[in-house]
Amino acid sequence: MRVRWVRTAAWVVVVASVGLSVVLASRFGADPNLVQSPLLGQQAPMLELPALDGSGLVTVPTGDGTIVVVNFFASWCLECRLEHDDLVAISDGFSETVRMAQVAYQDDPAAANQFLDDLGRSEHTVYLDDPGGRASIAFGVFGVPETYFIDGNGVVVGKIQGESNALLLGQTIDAIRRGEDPGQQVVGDVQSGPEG
Amino acid sequence: MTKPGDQARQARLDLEELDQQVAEGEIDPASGEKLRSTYLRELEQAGNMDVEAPVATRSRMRLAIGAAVLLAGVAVTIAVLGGNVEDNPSGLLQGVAAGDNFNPGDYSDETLEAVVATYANDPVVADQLVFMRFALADRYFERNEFQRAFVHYEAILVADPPAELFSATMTRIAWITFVGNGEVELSLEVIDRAIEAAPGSTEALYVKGQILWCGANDSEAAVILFDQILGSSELDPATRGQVESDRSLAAVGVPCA
Repeated sequence: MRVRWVRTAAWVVVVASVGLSVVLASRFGADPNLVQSPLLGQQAPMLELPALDGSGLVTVPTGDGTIVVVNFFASWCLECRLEHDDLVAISDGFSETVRMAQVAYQDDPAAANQFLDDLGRSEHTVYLDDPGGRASIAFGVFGVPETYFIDGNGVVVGKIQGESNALLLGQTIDAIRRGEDPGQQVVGDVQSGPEG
Repeated sequence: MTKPGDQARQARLDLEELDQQVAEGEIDPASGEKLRSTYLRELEQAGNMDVEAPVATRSRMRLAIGAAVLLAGVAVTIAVLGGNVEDNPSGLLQGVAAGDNFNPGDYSDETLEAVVATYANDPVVADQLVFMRFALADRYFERNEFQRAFVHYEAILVADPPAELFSATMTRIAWITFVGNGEVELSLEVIDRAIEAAPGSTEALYVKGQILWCGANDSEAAVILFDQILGSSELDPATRGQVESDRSLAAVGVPCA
């Protein structure tokens, strides 16, 4: 037996989903002048950095079939603060299929840890320090927040520049899982340093 | 020029009539909500907001309270049920998320879960979020993962959704209650709330017909509901054929398969 369930609600779901995207998207600005990241389509740089909690050196494996998300953040970055809950939710939601790392960019480890103490951590994310800016240079980070997506083959296939959100992060991961290259998405401004 | 007192009286009268018109199906619930906002605005403009809550508001409150009481029972049912129900006896469940206009492939379960988790308390997106939550819940519902679905359906009801969404949600909860643990009486109470919220909902009427026919063995009552559904001009041919088939079997006393 089959019956079409609540047809009237179907269009509402579509409108609502679009509406939510619009509402979320409307929170962002966009800078079309920013150039495409040269890292897209390239093998991801090796990510071996000290843990922010001082527990030692951490290597984030790539190219082992698991999607890796690398977010650069800083305690002095307002947009990073605004997107943090979304990153935690995505890390928790995709914990079985995605590996997430958040790297403190041009930040004092104590301040970065305080930022995480205030806003919360995902138990599925590794939080890393970046002394000397090695990782941020290797990834070509211009400012924060920036989020890179590495496919299961270790290739950088996506980048979100600016304040992200759960819907956008999730859509990007979903696209990668379908074998697509989401490319670069500029959704807002980034801050290159504590002074903006 | 209309006096403020007259305007207030008229607005109150309109509000009372509106409830009746929605209940009798003369005005659909969505249009009813818009008209209600207009009448309330007129009432406010007349400088007379010191009035009782409109009947519809009380009605919705009553629905919500009734729903909460019922849900307590349903939650117990779900807890007792434990895991997923492997069998969907009617094959009925073809959810919104799998509808023609919404491609669930655009969003994974994880993405929707993350979005609803992050924005659950954000008033800016609250109105939209309940529909996304509904789509997510329907996916679990489709897969007979009733426990996971129920968590979201419950959250939708707490969010005071529009009448149609309230009805659709209660319809699914009624189905879960019936299929999950064979709770015929409880599921009938739940489905009656769904029909009360959206009297013209063919889905709710169909589920009630199924519960009566398959659960309560009351073919006569089921046939009445099937006839009511068949009187709708909005049925697609496949659904109409299904309901006609059910009706013909129930009418001659054939037990629900």
